[in-house]
Amino acid sequence: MIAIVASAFDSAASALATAWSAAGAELLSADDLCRSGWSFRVGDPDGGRAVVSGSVVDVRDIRAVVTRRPAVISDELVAIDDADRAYLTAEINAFLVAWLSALTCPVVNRPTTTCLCGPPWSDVHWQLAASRADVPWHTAATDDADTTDVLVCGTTTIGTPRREESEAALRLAAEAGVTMLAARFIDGKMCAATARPALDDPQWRELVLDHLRSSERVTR
Amino acid sequence: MILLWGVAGDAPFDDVRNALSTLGADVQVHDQRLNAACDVQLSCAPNRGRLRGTVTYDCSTQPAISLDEVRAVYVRPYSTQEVCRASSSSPGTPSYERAMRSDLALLTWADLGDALVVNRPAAMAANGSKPFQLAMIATHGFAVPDTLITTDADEVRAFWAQHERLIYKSVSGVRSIVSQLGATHVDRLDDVASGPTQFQQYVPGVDVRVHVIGSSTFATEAISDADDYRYASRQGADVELEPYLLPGDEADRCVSMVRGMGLTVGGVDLRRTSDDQWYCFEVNPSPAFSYYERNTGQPIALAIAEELHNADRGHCHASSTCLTSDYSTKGSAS
Repeated sequence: MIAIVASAFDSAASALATAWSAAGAELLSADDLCRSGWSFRVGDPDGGRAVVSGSVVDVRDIRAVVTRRPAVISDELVAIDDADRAYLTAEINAFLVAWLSALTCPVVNRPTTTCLCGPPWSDVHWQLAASRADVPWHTAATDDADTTDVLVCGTTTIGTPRREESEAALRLAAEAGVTMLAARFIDGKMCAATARPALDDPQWRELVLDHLRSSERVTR
Repeated sequence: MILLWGVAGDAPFDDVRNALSTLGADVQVHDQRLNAACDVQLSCAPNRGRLRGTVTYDCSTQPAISLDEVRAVYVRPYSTQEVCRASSSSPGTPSYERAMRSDLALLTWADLGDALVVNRPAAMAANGSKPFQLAMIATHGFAVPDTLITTDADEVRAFWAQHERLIYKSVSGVRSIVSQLGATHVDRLDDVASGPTQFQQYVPGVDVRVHVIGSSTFATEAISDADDYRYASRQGADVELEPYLLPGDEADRCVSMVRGMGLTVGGVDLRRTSDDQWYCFEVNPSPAFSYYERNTGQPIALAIAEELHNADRGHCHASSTCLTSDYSTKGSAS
């Protein structure tokens, strides 16, 4: 099974689950976090159980996780009393940070302590990281400029025939410590980056799925 | 220059400020309540990997802060939402949005700037997920309590039967009173299906809070019958705080762990069992040390001030001589 951690209201995530249905993809939504069946012992993440699309599953049966959300928000917990929602939302997010960090299967992207799907960096933060990774940055991007979007997943890139753009995107992903990253280029210089790229392009989806299929569980 | 970022009136913030004044340090203060009345401008310098910035205030009498000149910063802000709520500023209003923008920019700067930051926000955030932090603690050689997070009442029952005594506490950084599971909870266990709930093996022993400041440690024993001595009075118990002589190995481990977590200052919650095992439950990255200092006389604020002052003067803070050395354990002491 591939668990896609996403909002039940995220149509793009639902489309991704449909596109990957043959690979066993299922949505893991906020509702699943409020159902009986979860079990996580610190130090033994693979010995536990999870709830995915309403079903209790052994964590060992989850082959990979793709996280499509920075956080669970309280408005999603419609079955929970208003008075308890904010507290429970904080608890769920804290739990997911610990669980997603501990899993030994591939998790794209691993959470940071403040975001469930990789670093939630601002533009200036990406720019600084690019500078530290020797990636030239285009500071005067305009809306009508010709842009090239590059996806990094693992050690592979897609979206550009230019080697220097591929290598720059890979260097930035390494600097950011992420498996998956999208970067936008103008005239060979990067002008934007994100650790939560849209996965609506079939080729991009295929690249990520190939990565998940070829990745092994990590030994901790 | 040293920057203090927090809320005047907060005891640790005031204590560090006063200690810096004693040292004659060059200090500027950014009071978080001014977040909605200031602009923070950040830019990436063309030279490799440097962040530049300024804080300017609407009020002309409030001097601007050049973040490029800050060599050390003490970071103790509250949640911006809370501060905004206290000033009746609600989400969606221009002042609230401006306060949030200022906060975000300062957090970015504090994570990326070249100054000594006590502590960097990204490093502090690990405390926002207790089980995440506990897994980090375990890698530093302390014993950690067996911990279960579950939505399954049967799992709780089995865990309870295994350990006989359990405590429960929040998973997140939301403050909660650590309590023991008892007979009154039996009928409510099915409620865990509402969301992940954290249970831990109860570990009997002596509570020791260790404040790590750079390579120095200040250990305090908390003597109390309460499950959570911080809330002893609410649990009908008393608490007594005494300076404690921490064994050198444990002091070294605390220093190494706090440093390994990317922190300069940390409040380490330890418990020593009757068979001399040392359990670590949590590392507080923004400890309210004043409570311990008032009760023991340990000069914790001064030690923090010295770290900041030494960094401002370009001294290596880990090896600097400090006024507090008579009171603290330095790294590998006894």
